Order: sequence, then structure tokens, then C-alpha cells
Amino acid sequence: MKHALQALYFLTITLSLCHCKSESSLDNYTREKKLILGNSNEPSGLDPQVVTGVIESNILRSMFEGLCVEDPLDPSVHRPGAASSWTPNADFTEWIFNLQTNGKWSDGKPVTAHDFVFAYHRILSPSFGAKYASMLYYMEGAEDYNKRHNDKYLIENNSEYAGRWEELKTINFRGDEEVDMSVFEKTEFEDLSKEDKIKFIKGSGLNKIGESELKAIIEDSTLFAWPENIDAPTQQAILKTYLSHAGKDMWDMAKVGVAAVDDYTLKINLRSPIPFLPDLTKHYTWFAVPEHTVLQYGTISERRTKWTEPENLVSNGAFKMKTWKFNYKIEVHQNPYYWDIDNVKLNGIIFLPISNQYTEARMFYNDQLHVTYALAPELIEYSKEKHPKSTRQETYLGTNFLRFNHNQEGLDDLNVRKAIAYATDSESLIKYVLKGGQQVATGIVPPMGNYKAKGELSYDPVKAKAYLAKTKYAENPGALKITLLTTDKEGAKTVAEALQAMWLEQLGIDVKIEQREWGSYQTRMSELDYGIATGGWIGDYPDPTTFLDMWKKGDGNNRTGWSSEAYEAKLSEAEIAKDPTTRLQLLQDAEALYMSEMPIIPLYWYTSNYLVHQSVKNWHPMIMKSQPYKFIDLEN
Amino acid sequence: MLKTIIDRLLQGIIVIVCLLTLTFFLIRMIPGDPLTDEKAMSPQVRKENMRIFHLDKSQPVQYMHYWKNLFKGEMGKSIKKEQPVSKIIGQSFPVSVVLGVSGMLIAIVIGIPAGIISALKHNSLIDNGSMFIAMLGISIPSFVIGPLFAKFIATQVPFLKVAGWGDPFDWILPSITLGLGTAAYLARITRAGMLDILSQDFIRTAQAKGVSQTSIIVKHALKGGLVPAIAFLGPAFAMLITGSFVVETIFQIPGMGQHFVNATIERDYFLLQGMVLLFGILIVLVNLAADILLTYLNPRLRS
Repeated sequence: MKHALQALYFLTITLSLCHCKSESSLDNYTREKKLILGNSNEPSGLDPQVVTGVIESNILRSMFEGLCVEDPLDPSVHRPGAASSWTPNADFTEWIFNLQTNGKWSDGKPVTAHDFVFAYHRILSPSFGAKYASMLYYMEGAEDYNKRHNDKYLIENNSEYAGRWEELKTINFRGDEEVDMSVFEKTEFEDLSKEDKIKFIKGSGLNKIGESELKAIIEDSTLFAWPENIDAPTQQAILKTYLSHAGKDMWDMAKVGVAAVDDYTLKINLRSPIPFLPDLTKHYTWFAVPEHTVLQYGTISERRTKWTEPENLVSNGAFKMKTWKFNYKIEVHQNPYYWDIDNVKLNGIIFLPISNQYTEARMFYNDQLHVTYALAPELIEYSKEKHPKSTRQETYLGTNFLRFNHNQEGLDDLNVRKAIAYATDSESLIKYVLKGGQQVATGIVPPMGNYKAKGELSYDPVKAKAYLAKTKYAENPGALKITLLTTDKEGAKTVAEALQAMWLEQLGIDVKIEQREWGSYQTRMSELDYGIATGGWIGDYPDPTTFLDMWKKGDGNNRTGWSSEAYEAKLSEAEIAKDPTTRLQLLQDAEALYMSEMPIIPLYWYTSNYLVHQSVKNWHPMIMKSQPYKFIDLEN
Repeated sequence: MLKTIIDRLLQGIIVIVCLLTLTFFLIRMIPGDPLTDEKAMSPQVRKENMRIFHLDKSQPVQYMHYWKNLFKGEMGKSIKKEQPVSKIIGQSFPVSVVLGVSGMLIAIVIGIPAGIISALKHNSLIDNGSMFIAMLGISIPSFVIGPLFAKFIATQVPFLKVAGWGDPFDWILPSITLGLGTAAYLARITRAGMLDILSQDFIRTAQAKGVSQTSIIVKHALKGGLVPAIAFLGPAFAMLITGSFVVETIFQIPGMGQHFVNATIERDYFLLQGMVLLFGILIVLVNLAADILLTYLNPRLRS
């Protein structure tokens, strides 16, 4: 081995003699004002209305611009983006956005209000299947349109059936949620037995069945469970109405709350007062896409067309696509048509999909990167010592927690949950296991803006034992059989073992750790096949609702089996509150109520550890890590 | 000879069909599917996505659909990356070939001479020493060697980078990291093969007749002695091209190995299918090449 290394050394030194000065050094990039970033992974795509992740968001934010833009210093300030100004009405339900009159796409065509309407129409189109469409549900009528609530347009608001809604609304339009539809996922309607056909139609409701199913009901009305008060002619009339609209886009009838008043004025109507709409418009789901380019390569509801290919991609932000080499790098450069190009300091940005955090750190230490995506916990101390000015440790809008499965015997008892929660020493976990400077979480919502977390959970073994004493497991805690479900990701097992030890020591409860790889872990959680499970949530926008809404009954992210009508009532109350202060107060009440039932144990609020080179200027801490690149500069 | 090749190719096709079929159904048996995500989709969005990716049909229908498309030359699109599988392979395969071939060359250049010399100096210091190093090479995994190279060599040598894939200099450290393990195996196999041949009667006869040592080794011993090494090299080559996951992540190389691993973890059905297809073809071809070479080296195999 030694010989091999020596030989290698000689070889490399010989080679170095014939090699001219390397061009890839960081100084050169700094001089050229090209920012090189580690970006964790290859993005799943670059269509703002399709993707759902942070990696994609980082790239999209360089190329696209929302109506408003973050201020790098003050999160409560909204800078003009695609919109030069905006005004809400008194109760924050109607907003007028005045677009930049010199706003242009990177191909020179103007950015108009119609592009925004088109984009929102596109992401909400039911057949488009956008995973993040719910981010736009704040707009009037958006949810109904996206969820195909066609009864609203075809029957309730249809003059043909005027005055008959009370009678007709008993019809199963929206489908029966109790029917397990997953069994029909992989079979054609024609191949089903009559019994299954009935079940399928019952589960779908009239709104979600297609032409062939409608025709089948016209021929055989017993396939659909009509309420008794609906006579045959009405049945046929309703089916004909549905059939005449089968497969058609209901956008015009849906009257979703977005309109282009003129080319440069966008009006947005919301279903309830949303004082934080400017924050939402910074999220990529609210970005405009170029109607002319998207339609050149496909229809409005068609996904995965060629418009996002690097040579076709047209955007409205400070930068535009230069090269996209799969799994290698994505490079963007200045968009000459950008309205504020005079204030853009960088010439370009290079995103590298470095998934290995140690590799990324090595590249940074060796002057190959300006900014890393993350920093492995083991390297934090080393970095603080060797690169004190480069090592960043910043609050990040996310919570790590443990879910309780409420369907599991034992865990349905609030006192058991409280006992376990109070026996969980998050502080030690952070100090000795995680070592990433995380903050101990007292509630599900991390601190943000004017919102003060309402949770009061803290480590208290005495309280923990007192709660356990109130349960039937007081004498024999070993009888409590719980599995702790976790992932196979790095460090997951250590955290699980630390928790296991805490609960055994404080309460005598011995949990069984089950490590599952990602897919199985997600499935087990969705199917409520666990006792306690590790989990986390990153906020989509800086408002408490991004952490609170997911615990509603039936929400796909709830995954605990817990629900509370009082809690949802508080959330609804907050939703219609017109005064922002009252609204936050109501949300705090909702969180307090939530925490008192302990459906989860909050462990810690995330901290983002990463490295920023000294040459990078104006890179300020941001709670969502959504750096507005247009303000960043590079200087040696 | 031609008949053997055609025979082997036909067998290969059957193997690949079986491989694709098994992968197709096995990956669908593991819990979770490509639409499983940290943030759950609402049922109706899930349904639309099942439709978009043709996952809403029964498995036999999907299977037939897959073959129909494959005959048309379409491998489908990656579900997670929304890119055509052919494009992903087209971009990563050349990188993996460069890495694999240079790794292979390093393995051959180090492994075979080391094995031969060890065999010739049987039980000497050189033999024991190089076999000890070979044992180390086999035992120390690339995720240890790679970072050590990056830390202690790349940072010292001006034109080497700790990671990245730009100019040909970037090929050096990853291919050494990748090749070392194989070199170690190769050295041991070559040594065993050579020792076996050197103890045969015909070598002793040659020695008795006074044939020079060099001539014995080059003309007589090598041909037979390398047989096990070459039989090993075939599959090892395919493994080097597709199985470079660790080296790829350590040195940030846009190769194919990571797709193999990630496609399975993320249940990216079509991408996995494409990877397995490519791996199958590689294995069949390199084994065939190894067989042809072996027939050339070993006359007994020709009948």
C-alpha cells in the first residue's frame, strides 16, 4: 500500500508539471461573481407547479419571482417582486396587485396578470394532479374547483334546478369517504362486478365518475343509490347535465378568486381574511409560469411537457437557465430582461447536488464551494474552531416530534402520553446526541414573528411518574408494549436508543425500536401501524397554520388517529378573524388545546447548520432559508 | 465458436427477461410506492398521480404495458425525477464507464503483477507482504479509503480536487479508490491460479528441459494461471460500472451507482427497471467476453 501511495504521489506530481493553473479555484468564481452552492440533491423537476421540496425551491427562487420578495434582513418586510405594489381591503379578503410594467420573461415577452391567472388555473386543474395545490386553497372557490365539487356549478348554481337545491342536495355528489377506494385503484370499471360497480360509484360520487360510468347509470339506475325523493325524470336530467360536462374543464363556472383586471393588475379574492398573503406569494406554488411557453409544449393540464427542458425554460426572475446536467450541476446566469437587473450583483449561480454532507464539507474546506447545504453534526465543533466566521447556526422553521398512535392500547390514555412526554429529556438529547445547537421545543409551532408558542412542556421526571401513577400501568409499566418506529437514516437509531433509555430509566417502560427504511416507515405511519414514531415538519410559510392545519381529522399528514372538534373549531374561528392580533391569539389557544391533549411530543425546533464563505456578502440568516439571491454579492 | 456465442446470447436474453420480471413484481411487493412522500397527498391528488404514471392499472396490465413500451424502445420516465429514464442513463452511463474502466485498469495493473510475483516468490517476504496488503485492501472499505485520499492527497496535490467531476484529473482518486479493492481480490486469485499451474508436471518438465524461467512463465504458466482471474474479471467489471455508489457520493461523481440505490429506496419503478436492464445486458456481455477469452486460453473448453 505504501508503495502504491508513493507511486501515486510521483505520478500526480509528474502530471502536475504539465498541468496549467486550475481554473476551478473559488477565487476565480468569486471574481466572475458566480456563486457556487451545495444543494443536497438533484431536483425532482423545475416546474414551480409540480415540485414540492426545498432543493427545488432553492433553484426556482433564482429563476422565478413571486409577486412579493423576501427582505434579507427583516422578515416582516415584503419587497416588490413581480408586483410593484399591492393593497388589501379592510378585512384582508381582497387584494389588488399592481405588476411591474417593465416586468419581462427571459425571452423578452411581458409578464402580465394573465400569466398569473394561467398559472393558478394550471396548478388547481384537477387532472393536473399538483401535490401542492392546497397552498392555493386560500383563494375563493379554489378548493371546490381542485376537488371537482362539480355539483356546485352543475346543480346548486344552475338555473335549470333553481329552487330545488334543498331537495337535491341529499344526492351523493361528493362520494362516500367510508368506502375504501384503494381496492379499485388497479381495475377498470368495466371489469368490476355489479356489486363493486355500485360500491365504486358510491365512493366516487357523481362528481368524480367519468363518461362511461355516467352512461352506465343512465342505462341501469340501480347502480347509483338515488335518494327516494328524487324521481326518475330528475335522475335522468341530472345525469344528462353531468354527461354534457363530462371531461370538461369547469374553470369558467368555478369562478375562482383570481382575475386579471387588466394586463398589469391582478385581483385576488380570498375565502377568509389572510393578512399573510404576501408571504404566501413568495412560495413557488404562487409563482407565475409563462403561458405562451407552457402552451407551446402542451396543454394547460398536461404535466411533464418539454417546457422545463433547459433549452426551453423561460422564467421571470433575476436569473435564467444556462445549463442543466443531470446529477452534475445546474447553472443559471443573469436574465437580461429582468426588471431590476441593475441591482443584481451576481452574474450566475451554480447548484451542485452534493448528497454526502462530509464530501460537501471537504469541498468547502478545500475552497470548492461558497455555501454548503448543511453541515454534519460531527463537523460542527471542528468548523467552529477552524472556520469560526464561516460556520452558521441559525433557527430554521421546523419542528421535530414524536407521534403517538392513538389507536394503540395504552397510548389512548392521556396520562400515559403525558407520562412519556414529561419523561423525555430533549435538552440532553440535543446536548449529547444531536449536538446541532437545536432549541428545546415546548410546542408544535416554533417561535415566529409575533407568535409566541403556547406549549409549556418541559422535562420533569417527578411529574412523569405522577402521571404514570394515575394509569393502570402504575404497578406494572412493563405491561405497556410499545414500538418506537424510526427511519434508517443516519443518527436515527442513536436518537431512538436515547429515548428508549430515558423512558426505561424514568418510567420503567421498555419500548421496542423498529428501524424501517424510508418507504416502509412512511407506509407504517400512514396505516397507523406503530406505537410511537419519530417525525418532523418544515413550515411552508411563516404562519402558525402551516403547523396547525395538519392535525385536522382526515388530513393525510395527521397520522396519529387523534382529532378534536374543539381544536378544529378554534382553527375555523381563527380563519375568519379579521384582526391579525385576534387571529394569532386564537391560534395560540388552538395550540394550547392541542398540547394539552398531547397527541405528539415536541422534541426540538430545527437549527440549520451550514458553512458560508467569507467572500459571500449579504447572506443573512433567514427562518425559511429562502435567500433572495438578487441581493447577494461576492467580494474577495 | 459462433454457435457458442449465439447460444450464450440467447441464454442471456432469457436471463434478462427473468431479471426484469422479477424486479418488476418484487419492487411492487415492498411496502410504499413511488407516491409515498413525507408530506402526504390528498386522496384525489393521489388518484390523479396514479393515473398520470399509469399506476392505476392492475399489475399484469402494467407489466404488459411495460414490455410493449420497451419493444418500442421506451423505458418510461422516472417517477421521482420526472425525467426520461433513457436520458438519466444516457448522462450517467458514460461517467460510470470512465470510472469503471479506469478502476478496472488500476485493478489489473496492480493486482495481476502482484499476484504473479507473489506466486513466483512463494512464501517469501514479498509474497507475505503483498498478500497482507491485499487482505487489507479487501477489508478496508472504499468509504474509508476514499475520504483518506481526499483528505491527505487531494489537499496536497495542486491539481487534484477533493471532489467533483470536471477535468480528467478528477478521475484519478476515484478510480484508485474504486480499483483497489478489486486489485486486492485479483492479486489473491492470480496468485492462487499461478501457484496451481506452477506445481503442474508440465512446468516441471519444462524446467527439467532447461527452458528459461521467463519463457516458462510467459509462454506456459500465464495462460493457465490467469484463467480464474479472467473468470472473476467479467462480473467484477460489471460491478465496477454499476456498483460505484459509495465512490460516487464520496467524490461527487454524476455516475450510475447512486441511481441503482436511490431508485430502490424511492420506489422509482421505471428508473429501477432501466438500471436492472442495463446491468443485465452488461453482465451478459462481460461474461460472454470472459468466456471467449477463457476458451482462447484453455483449449479444453473449445470442444
